[in-house]
Amino acid sequence: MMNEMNFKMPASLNELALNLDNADEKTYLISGGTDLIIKLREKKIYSGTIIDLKGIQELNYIRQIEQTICIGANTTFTEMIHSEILIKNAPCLVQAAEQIGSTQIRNAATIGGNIANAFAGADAIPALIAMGVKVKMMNAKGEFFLKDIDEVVIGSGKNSLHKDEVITEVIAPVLGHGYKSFFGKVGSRERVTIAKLNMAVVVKNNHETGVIEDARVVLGSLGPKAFRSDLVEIELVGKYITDSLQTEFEKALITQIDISIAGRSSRPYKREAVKALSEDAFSNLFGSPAWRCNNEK
Amino acid sequence: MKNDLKYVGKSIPIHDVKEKVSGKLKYAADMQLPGMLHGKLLLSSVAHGRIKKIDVSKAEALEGVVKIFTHENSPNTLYNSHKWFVGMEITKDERLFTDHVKFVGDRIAAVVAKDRFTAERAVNLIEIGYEELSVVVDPEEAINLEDYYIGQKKIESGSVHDVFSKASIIIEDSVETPKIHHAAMETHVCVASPGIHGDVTVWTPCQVVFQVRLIVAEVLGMPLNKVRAIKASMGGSFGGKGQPVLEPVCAFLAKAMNAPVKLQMDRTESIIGTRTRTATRGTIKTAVSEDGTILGRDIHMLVDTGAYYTNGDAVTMAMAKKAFRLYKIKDQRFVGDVVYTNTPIGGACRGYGSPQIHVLSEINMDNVARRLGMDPAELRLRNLVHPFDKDPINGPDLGNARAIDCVTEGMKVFDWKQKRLRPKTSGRIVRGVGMACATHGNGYHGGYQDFITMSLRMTEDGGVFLNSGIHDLGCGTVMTMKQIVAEVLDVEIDKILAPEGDTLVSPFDVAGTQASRVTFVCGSCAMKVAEQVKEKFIGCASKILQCSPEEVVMEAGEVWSSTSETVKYSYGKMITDIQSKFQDDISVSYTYTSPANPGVYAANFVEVEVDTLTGLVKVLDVLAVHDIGKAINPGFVEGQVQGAIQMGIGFALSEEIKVDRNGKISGDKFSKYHVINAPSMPDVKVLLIEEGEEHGPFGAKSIGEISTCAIAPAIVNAINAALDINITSLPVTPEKIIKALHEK
Amino acid sequence: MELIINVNDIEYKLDVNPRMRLLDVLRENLGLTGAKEGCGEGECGACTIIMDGLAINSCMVLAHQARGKKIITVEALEQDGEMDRLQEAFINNGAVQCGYCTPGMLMSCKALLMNNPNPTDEEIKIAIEGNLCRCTGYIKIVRAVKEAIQNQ
Repeated sequence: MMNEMNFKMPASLNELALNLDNADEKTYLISGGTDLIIKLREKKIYSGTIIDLKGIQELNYIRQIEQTICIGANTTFTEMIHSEILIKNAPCLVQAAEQIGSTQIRNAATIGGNIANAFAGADAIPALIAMGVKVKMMNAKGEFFLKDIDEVVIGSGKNSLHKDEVITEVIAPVLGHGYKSFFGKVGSRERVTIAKLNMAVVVKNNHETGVIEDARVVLGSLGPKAFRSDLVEIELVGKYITDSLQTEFEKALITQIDISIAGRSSRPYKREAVKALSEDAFSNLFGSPAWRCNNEK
Repeated sequence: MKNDLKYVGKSIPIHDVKEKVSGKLKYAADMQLPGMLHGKLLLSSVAHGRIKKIDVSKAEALEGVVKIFTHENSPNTLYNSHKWFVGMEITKDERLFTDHVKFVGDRIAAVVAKDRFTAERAVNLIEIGYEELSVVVDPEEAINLEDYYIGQKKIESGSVHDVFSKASIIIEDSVETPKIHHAAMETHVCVASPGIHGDVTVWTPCQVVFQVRLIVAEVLGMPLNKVRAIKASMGGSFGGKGQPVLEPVCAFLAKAMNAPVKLQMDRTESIIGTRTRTATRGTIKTAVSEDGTILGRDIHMLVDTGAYYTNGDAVTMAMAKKAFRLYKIKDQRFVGDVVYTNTPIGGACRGYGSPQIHVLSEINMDNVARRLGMDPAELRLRNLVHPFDKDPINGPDLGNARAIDCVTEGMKVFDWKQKRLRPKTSGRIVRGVGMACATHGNGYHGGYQDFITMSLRMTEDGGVFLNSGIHDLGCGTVMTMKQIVAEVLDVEIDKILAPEGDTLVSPFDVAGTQASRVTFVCGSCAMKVAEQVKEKFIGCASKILQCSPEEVVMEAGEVWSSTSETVKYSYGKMITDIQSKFQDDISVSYTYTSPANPGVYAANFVEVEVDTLTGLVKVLDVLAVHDIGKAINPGFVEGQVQGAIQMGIGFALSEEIKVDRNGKISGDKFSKYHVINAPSMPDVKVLLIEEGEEHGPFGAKSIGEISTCAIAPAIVNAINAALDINITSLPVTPEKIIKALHEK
Repeated sequence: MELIINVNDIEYKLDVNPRMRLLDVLRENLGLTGAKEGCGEGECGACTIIMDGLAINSCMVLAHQARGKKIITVEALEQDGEMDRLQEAFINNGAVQCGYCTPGMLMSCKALLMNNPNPTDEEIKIAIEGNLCRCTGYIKIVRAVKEAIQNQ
């Protein structure tokens, strides 16, 4: 009776495709394990099939191919933190990875698992959305297809994958000249904390004109899933980086929070805490700005 | 007393440190006995209700399940796990398994299975039909309900009424403290094994083996002599493993199955289903003169003992007594109302009421200082007790109470005045300093029986065997006792054997590791028994050495006569000679009764940094000053203080077992119950005032509990001073800070 | 289900239910009880072991996922009767009280020093951010790691 759980250990994508062929509601994919093992216990899951993706070496890589960065689904957050490619091209993703869980969790948890788990407060997801990544998936037939991250993550622990589909890769564009990115979060303590609020920002600043040409602002922990905030982005695009822009940015963020969690008891706190993220984002992206000079710090 | 001490005052590592760093030490959870079965509890998922139906059929059908126990097939003896000695009269309201659940976490059933995975799985298959009853979680509501109101404790010195009717400055505060989880890294666990003589042996990480024996015997209707309680290696307690929780259940299961049983809780069960720091709501009124002299004080505490009585009234009395022993206040009243609620059970928790009463009084002291425009440290200096003051409510004398030294020395070392008067920053990050004082006790003298028997024997190879029912909770009790004995007998530490409590072989101890009594009371017993052994040894040795006892010299394991220094015996050789010559054993069994219960005192100084946008507080620096009398092992003392500060920061800022209106509990796992981790932990400097205490061994007093009593109010005071707000509800979460800043 | 697993340089062939965690197998099948369970959700770090050179919560990985990996537990820190310098430093600095977090704490620190022989205070604290201790306040633990670094 205790042996009702099957365990598959595909060593390649081909084998994985075969394993997925019979996948059903009781098929569970495991990579780092940091989410699934808790789920097995909490949901009292004693039978079914666990497919372990960790043995698929070909899913563990970070590579740059011309203007795209490909991250294998098995890549851990620790590996992402140390990736020169990501440090150079996707600082927000590195910043998010650094703030996920503890050292042990980052050593185990993977990018593929984090997306599939689709937790509302997940730290990597806002950064991935801001980066505009595509998620590559494979089905039981061994066919590959791409979807926007936004389509893959439904939120509140749900993803849009069918039972016979698996995330194999995350594809991020190299953002190019003038782009910068930031990730920040507010939790209930300094380290090892679930985000009460998190935010990723990607901006393109034209160094010659000083104007922001592109802005993506993603907020997490404000609903079932992280989302891009149009009303905040509009405040940034086409603007010069000034003290007053920071103020407008902050105001827009507060407005977004008022809309997103109207009536929630967490609103008064989050509309204040978002100012911290706003300030951190600005100083991180645009250097120590003038508006700080008024303080006696 | 010797001036140059050889073993006392030295930082020697804990006795089993090598086994601990190598992973070899076996804790109860690591034990395996032949044929051992595994138990798993079913805890209530509703906060209040009657059990109408229990269906165990599906669970029983699971392969590997041996038996399931509920109220229907187990003893229904009422007991109170707080009872630690036979003569103690106390309300009994707890049972092994209940049919009337009173909180989310109440024990309904236990599955016994061949392995723990099956047991865990089977528990999920038990179906319970509840008739849900109305839930009361708010102590303010409970106080007006007959079924929930327990009673009142009241102490008064002088006349509060007279003082308050004349006073012109009265400062009032209301303060809330939450239920706290002890958060020992080892969850609750117990192993029990039946014997062939109708007896049962219980291995448990506990604080009082004789209490475990008593409770098991009482619940199972067994003679004391049929129950053997053995203290297992302790993976942290902090009071949480003080009252027997699993022991009577596990002993029952082992007896019923006639097989060894291991019963272990997971983290959530340990958080909700064991004991918690008792929650309080206090109000305090302090009447002061313009110059900062406290004229009178009126304290009311509403004490929420949770679903069962346990120590509800004892912890209230403990709070009361502390209120009279820190400041000189002639006219003071303490009134405590104790209530039940449908929430996790209150019990002992490091400090035993002291952290709660000091949060109340020390936040209020800062508000008094603010109102008078005084330095809060100066205000305290004006009112703190002096050495050898009397207790105004006729409690034990305060002894060499060095509260004032703690504050004055602390102010200097912390650079208090300069830091406090530093101009405030107006940016996002704001810094502030705060301080608080506290007092605690040294045992039960004046309240309960406080005696311990120890026996000590010198062995034929120069070793020493100290037999006693001590419990090392990780604080270094065993090494502390060894250091005391080593000092008296001048024998190497490694030659001393000092096993821990085992009711079969340990001499009786009436109270175990409770009430900060171990160093002060048990340590004194170790010292006295060693002195008596020494006297006997010297008496016999003098005959063999043919000199007077005064001429016998004992040094570093050797004994000789000062009249003939060339003939030296090893202790072992001398013991052997005494045996052959006099057929006598150099051993003494001695019962020591504590004659005193002086106060210990502390002052904590902290600096905090608050992010005014996120409300996150970072404690930057802590100075803990302690009136310790004498540190037997300064390394242990420092370790106690640093750990206690970690616990106190959590109490101040983040820890809380939250219970909603319906009695549902959040904060029931570590991802939602944040204890302070390494990146959030400040440096903690420890400054010891070592002025000696008459009745302590080598002058020593307690440290384990006092060390967590002043830190939380010091942090709250620092936050309030930094932000010019007055938060009086713990924990001071970011949300509360942001709200307070808005309302400013 | 058969599992071949390498723990402390010994290869074991075991029959293990796929649902068992690495922690369960270490403790119950192999009798390596140094790793402890303190929370079962990857928050306390008492179960920390080293897997392929990295600190891992053994309660957060299925035993079968550890096939082909190199596992080191606290029991292997002592080599040929000689303690690891971290163990020595923990002893010398009073970094051990109840000892329940100690094996996990040591393994986190060991993994840190294997990958970064000269960490800053900040890096030490981050290495043990997932290891809770209720006894010591971490202060003597951090001090011990610093001493171990100096004694390399």
